Amino acid sequence: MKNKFLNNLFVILVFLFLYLPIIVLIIYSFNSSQMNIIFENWTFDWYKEILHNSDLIEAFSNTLLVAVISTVTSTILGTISAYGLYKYEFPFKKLINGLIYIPIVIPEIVLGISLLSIYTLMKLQLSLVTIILSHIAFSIPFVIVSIRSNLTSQTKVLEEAAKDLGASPFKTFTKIILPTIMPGIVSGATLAFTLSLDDVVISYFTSGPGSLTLPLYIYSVIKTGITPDVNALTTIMLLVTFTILISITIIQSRKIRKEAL
Amino acid sequence: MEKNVIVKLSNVTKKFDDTTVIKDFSLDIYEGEFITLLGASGCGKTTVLKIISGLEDATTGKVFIANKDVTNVDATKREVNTIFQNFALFPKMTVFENISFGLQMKKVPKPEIEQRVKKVIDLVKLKGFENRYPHELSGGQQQRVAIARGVVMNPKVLLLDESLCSLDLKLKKNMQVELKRIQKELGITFIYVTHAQDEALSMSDRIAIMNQGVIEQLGTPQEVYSHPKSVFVADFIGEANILDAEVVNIKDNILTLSFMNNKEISIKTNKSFNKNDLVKIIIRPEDVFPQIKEVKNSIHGKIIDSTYSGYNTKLYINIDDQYTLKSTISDINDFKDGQDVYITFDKEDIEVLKK
Amino acid sequence: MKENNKAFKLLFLLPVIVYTLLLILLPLVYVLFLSFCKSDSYGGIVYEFTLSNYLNIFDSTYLNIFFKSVSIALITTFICILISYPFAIILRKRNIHIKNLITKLIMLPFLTNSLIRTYGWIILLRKSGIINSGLIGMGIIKTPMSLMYNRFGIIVGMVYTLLPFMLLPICSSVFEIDNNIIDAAKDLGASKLQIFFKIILPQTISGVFNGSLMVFIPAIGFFFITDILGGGKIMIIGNLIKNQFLTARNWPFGSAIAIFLIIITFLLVKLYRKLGGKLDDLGGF
Repeated sequence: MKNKFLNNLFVILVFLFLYLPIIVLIIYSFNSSQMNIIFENWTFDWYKEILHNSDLIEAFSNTLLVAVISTVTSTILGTISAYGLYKYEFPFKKLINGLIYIPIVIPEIVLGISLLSIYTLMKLQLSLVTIILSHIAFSIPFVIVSIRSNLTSQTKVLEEAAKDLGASPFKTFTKIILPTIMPGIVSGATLAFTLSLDDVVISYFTSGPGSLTLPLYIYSVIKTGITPDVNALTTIMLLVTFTILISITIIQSRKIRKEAL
Repeated sequence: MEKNVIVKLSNVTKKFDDTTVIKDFSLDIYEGEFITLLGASGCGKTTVLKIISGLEDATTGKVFIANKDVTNVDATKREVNTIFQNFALFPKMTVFENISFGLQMKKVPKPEIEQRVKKVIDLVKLKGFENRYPHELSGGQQQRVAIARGVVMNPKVLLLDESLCSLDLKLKKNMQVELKRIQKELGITFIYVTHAQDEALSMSDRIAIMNQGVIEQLGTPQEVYSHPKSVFVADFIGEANILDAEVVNIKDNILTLSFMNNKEISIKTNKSFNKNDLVKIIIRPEDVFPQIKEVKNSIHGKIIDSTYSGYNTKLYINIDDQYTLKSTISDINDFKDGQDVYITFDKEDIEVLKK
Repeated sequence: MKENNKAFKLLFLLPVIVYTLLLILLPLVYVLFLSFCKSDSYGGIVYEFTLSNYLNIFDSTYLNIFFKSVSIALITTFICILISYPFAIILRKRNIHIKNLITKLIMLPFLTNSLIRTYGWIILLRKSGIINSGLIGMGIIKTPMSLMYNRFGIIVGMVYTLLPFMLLPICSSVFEIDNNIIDAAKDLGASKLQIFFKIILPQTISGVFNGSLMVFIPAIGFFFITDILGGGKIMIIGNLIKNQFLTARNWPFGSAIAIFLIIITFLLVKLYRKLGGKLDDLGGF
C-alpha cells in the first residue's frame, strides 16, 4: 500500500515538473502586478492589454501562420514522399533514405546555420518565407517516419488486391493507401505542428527584419523583463491549440470505434 | 495407495477492483497427479494458477503447498514453477542462460548448475541447442526450453498456463504426449490450465471445469464426459445434443420423458424426479444411431447436411422441420444428404438434468 | 497506361528528391565547404583553402567550452534516465488507455514554445522567485538561494526541456516487455533489482540509447537555455556556434564547429545502430 502511494507520488511529481512552468505562466497572467514577481491581485487586464501590444500580436499571428502553413505543406509532401520511398526503387534511393534522418538527428543549431548559409548564398532575403521553408525542412522527416510505421507488408497485399481488381495507381493511392496510413498522417501532422510551435533555434537563425515570431519577440524582451500580457497570450494560445488537439483525438478515436463496429 | 494433498486452496476469493474473479474457491490437488483447470477465457482459471504460484494474492482464503500455509509467501520463495503462455522466454539470453536463470538466482554453485541444466536438457531433448537464442528456435523447441526452465528448479508442482495453445495442431499432439511422458518421468504434480477440452481429456487424471470463478464439476475425464452435472459442462466438454423434455411417468427407476413434439423415451436413472418436472436431456452425437430402415421405437428424420473430419462423419438430422440432431458415425456409405432416416439412441449414456 | 505509371512515379518521388538535395544535402555540403574557407575581419568569406578553422577548435578556450558542454549534456542525459526508468516501470502494468493518455500528457507542454516555458522557470527560480520566497515564507531558509545564472539553473532547464525525449522511448520500450516475462523471472526467484538488471535493462537498452541520443545531442546546442538560465556566464557549443554566425561573424570557424558536431552525431548514431537501434524509432513519438 505504502509502495503504491510512493509510486503514484513519483509519477505525479514528474508531471508537476513538466507542467510547473506552464501553470506558473498561466497564474501570473491574472496578476495585477506589472512584473512577474509578486502575485498581487486577480485581474483580466493583461488579456485586454494584448490588443495594445502590436509587436506581440504580430509575433503571435506570424507564429501561428508559420505553424499552419509549414504543417500543411510538410504533411502533404511527407505523405507523398513516404509512399514514394516505400513503393518505388530508383538510383541513390539509399542516399535519399539516409538524408531523411539528418534533420531528426543532427543538432538543430547545425540545421539552423546551414539553412542560414544557403539562404545567404542564394541571396534569399530572410523573411517569413525562409522561416516557413526551414520549418518544412525539419518537419518532413518526422511526417515520413510516422507514416512509415503504417506502411507494412499488409499494405503491399492490399495494394496487390486493388491492382488485381483493376484499380489504377491513383485510385489505389486515394482509396486504399490513404485510409490505411491516415493514423500516421494525423500523428505526423500533429508532430509537425507541435515542433513548429515549440521551435526556437531554427527560427532564431532563419528569420530577418519584418518576420517577428514569438520566440524572437520573447528573446528581445526577456532581458528587460517580460510583461504579463505575454503570459495572457500564451494562455490563450495554449487553450486554442489544446482544443484543436483534443478535437483531433476525439474525431480519430470515434473513427476507430466506428471502424471497430 | 493413500493420496497426499500437495496443493490445497481453501475458500479463496479474488477481486480486481470491484469484479470478483474467483468466488469461494476450494480445491485439493494430489501429489503426482495431472490435473487440468478447464474453462473459457475469463472464467478465472489463470487467476487460480497465479494465486498458487504467488504472482497474485488471494483477496481472502488460504493457500497451502505441501501442508505449509504459503498465503503470504512471495512468489520467488514458493516451491512451484510456471510454464507461461507464449513461453515467456528471456529474449536476450541463450537457451542455457534461460534454463539456468532460476538456479543462478538461488545462488546454486556453478558445477551443480551445469550438471542440473544438462540433465533437463536431456530430458526435454534439446541437446546441441544450448547456445541458441529464443528467436532462433521453433515453437516446439521454445516450448521445451520453457518446460526445462521450470523443471530444473525441482518444483513440487509445475503450473502450465495455456502452454500448448500457441502451437500448431500437429505439434500440439506431439507435445501432449511429451508433457505426459515428462510428468511420468519426474513424478511431480502438473496443474494445467487450458480452454481446449481435447487437451484436457487426453492428458489429465482429473479435470476441474470452471465457469465464472467457480468449479462446475470436478472428476476424471471419463466422469465429466459421460456424466456431466450441468448443461454447461455437457456443452463445454465434447459435443452434445441438449434437448428440453418433461417427465410424464416414473416407475421404479425408469423415467418416461416427452420431448421433441411429444415423442416419448424411457431412460434408466438413479436420480430422483417428480412427475411434470421440466428437464434437459443430454445425448452425445455418437449415441445417436440413424438407420435407413424403420425400426421399432425409432424417430423419423431427414439428413440435411454432413461434414467429414477424417476419421468420422457428422450428420445433421432434421426432425419435424424444427429440431436438428447431431450424429457421428464412422461409415458414411449408406447415407446421403436429403435421405430419410430412423433414429434410435444408446439409452445407457443419456444424461437427464434438472433445469 | 505505362506512361501514366511513369508520371505517377515521378510525382511521388520528385518532392522527396528535390527536398533532400536542396534543403538537406546542399546546405550541409556548403557548410562543409565554408569550414575550409578563410574569413576576413569584416565578417566576409574569403574563398581560400585553409585548415586553420579546424586547428582553432583545439585552442584551450574552445576545448574548455567543449568539455563543459559535454559534461552538462551528459549530466542532463543521466538525470533524464534516472527519472524515466522508475516512471516507466511504475506505469508498466496500467491499461492501454492510461498509457496513451500519459504519452499525450508528456507531449502536451510542447504546445507552448520552449522559450516561453524556459521563461516560466525564471519566475520559479530567481532570487525573488516562487521557490525562494516560498521556502523563506515557510522558514526553511533565511536568505534566497542561487538557483539560476549558474550550472544548476542550466541543468534544470535542460532536463526540463529534454525529459520528454527520454520518457517517450523508455516508456515505449518498457511497455513492450511481455508481462509474463517479468512474472517468469519472479517465479524463478529473481528479486526486483535482479529483474531490472537481468531482464528489463537488456531488453530496453536500445530505447535508452534512443532517448540518450535525443537528449544528449540537442543539449550540446540549446544556446537559449544557457543564455536565459545561465545568464550568459556559461557557454556551450551552441552558444559558440551562434556567436560565430551572428556576433563575431566568423562563418568559416562556426562551420568547422558545426561539422565537428555532425561527426560526433554520426558516430553516436552509428553506435546506436550497432546496439540494434532503428533509425525510424528516433523520430517516432
